[in-house]
Amino acid sequence: MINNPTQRAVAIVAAALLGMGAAWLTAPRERSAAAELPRVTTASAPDRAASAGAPPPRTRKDAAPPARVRARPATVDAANRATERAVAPTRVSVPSVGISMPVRPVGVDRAGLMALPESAYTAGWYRFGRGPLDRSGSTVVAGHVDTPEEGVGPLARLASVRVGAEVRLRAGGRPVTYRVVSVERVAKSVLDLPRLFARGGPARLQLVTCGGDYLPDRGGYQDNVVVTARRVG
Amino acid sequence: MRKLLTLAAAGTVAVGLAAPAYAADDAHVSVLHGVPDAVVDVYVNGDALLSDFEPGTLTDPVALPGGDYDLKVVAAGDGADGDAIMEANGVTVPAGANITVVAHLDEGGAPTLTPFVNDTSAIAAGEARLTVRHTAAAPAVDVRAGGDPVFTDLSNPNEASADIPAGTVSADVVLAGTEDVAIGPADLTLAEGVHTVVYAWGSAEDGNLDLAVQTISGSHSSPGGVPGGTGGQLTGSGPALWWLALGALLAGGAAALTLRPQRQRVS
Repeated sequence: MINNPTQRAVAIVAAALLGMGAAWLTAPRERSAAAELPRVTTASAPDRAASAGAPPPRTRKDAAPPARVRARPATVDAANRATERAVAPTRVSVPSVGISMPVRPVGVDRAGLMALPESAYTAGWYRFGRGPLDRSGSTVVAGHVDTPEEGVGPLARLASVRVGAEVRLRAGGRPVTYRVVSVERVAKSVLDLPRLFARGGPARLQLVTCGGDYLPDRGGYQDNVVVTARRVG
Repeated sequence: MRKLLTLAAAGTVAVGLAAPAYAADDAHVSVLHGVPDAVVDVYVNGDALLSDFEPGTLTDPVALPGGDYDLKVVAAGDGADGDAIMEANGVTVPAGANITVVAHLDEGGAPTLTPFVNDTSAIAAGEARLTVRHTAAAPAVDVRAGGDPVFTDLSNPNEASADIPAGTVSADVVLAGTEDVAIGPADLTLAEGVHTVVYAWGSAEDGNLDLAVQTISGSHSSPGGVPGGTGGQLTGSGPALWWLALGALLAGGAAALTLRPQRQRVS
């Protein structure tokens, strides 16, 4: 019936658009990949142990003063040397959804939120937390899903990442490999930040961007899309 | 004099009683040796806690149940019954508190023990906590960072503290109200979420003033959130765009083709 490839393409696109238009009309909130993710209302299980970084409390018996306590030089140099400094990741890639973007270190903005690079095509690594080469804790890499100037950026595709997908960071001149264990959409108001930014627990990567409804009067996007990946290599 | 200082020290510890959050937990006690030239042993309630303890060294934290403790410092090898170089009896260690007991010289140069309570309350994301303690046989001092006074007129055995942005500062110690440098400058790394405690110790008269540094981690906080998007385009900027898309669709297939990027955007 439709022989011309262009016509066929037009028809397919038209049908898709019509279908989605209808979907939007009937279910106006389900109109982005992020929105199709189930919204998590409580912290999920995958690495709840992460927040239990502290050793169990000692019993009274153990607490008796040991006869030999270690003492170390308390010099300025010794203290400076002991300062942990994580190795920064320089690139993040998620091959299954075609994400490959540079990463630069970021801190905290004036509002106390994680500071992000202005561009949606550069991700930020939370430099006060853990890094890819640390043996424990969360490496947090986040970026804007879109900006007014650039439109929608690569991180919009985080919402379509599948469990089991590979994620790679480049750090210290070598690749560090992770496997996705969960993809969640969580309301910003209930996001478990101490868990997301945990400095203890298993070594893992948290990829974060925005999703859900965009309400300019209420701080923009209402949800975060959080991909959790365990380090495998 | 020593008694007076011990009482002052007890007052310092009593501050910790106002922090009941850890009521059931052990206290964590570190010991800093800030008396020049004396190698000592430390006894707690008559039990050996530390042997051959050298000046300028700091112990790892020791977990102790809350309670009253008798502390005694003797010359190394003198035993529990040896003559006390320093002694503090009935020192109250509140349960759950984080305490550093400092063996140091008072302003006049006599050895003394001062327990300080370390503030372990949460530090805001991006910040570091700096505390400076004057435990040297020296007059009042100002502490400067990058040449600017941050703590002024600090005298033995007092402390001053502030939460400041994490980073490296060039710190020095000057005689209060002067430009006369007594210690430093030294580059000091103030790590995020870490409480860095700097002690001025030694004796001005003997020319051996120095800095000792203790770091206490575990008080860090998470950022308040991840902002994540500024465009509002992911969800199509509201209904208008969609009506436009449907309108274009009805107008003709060619228009739909040009809108194809929209499809990728939302699927």
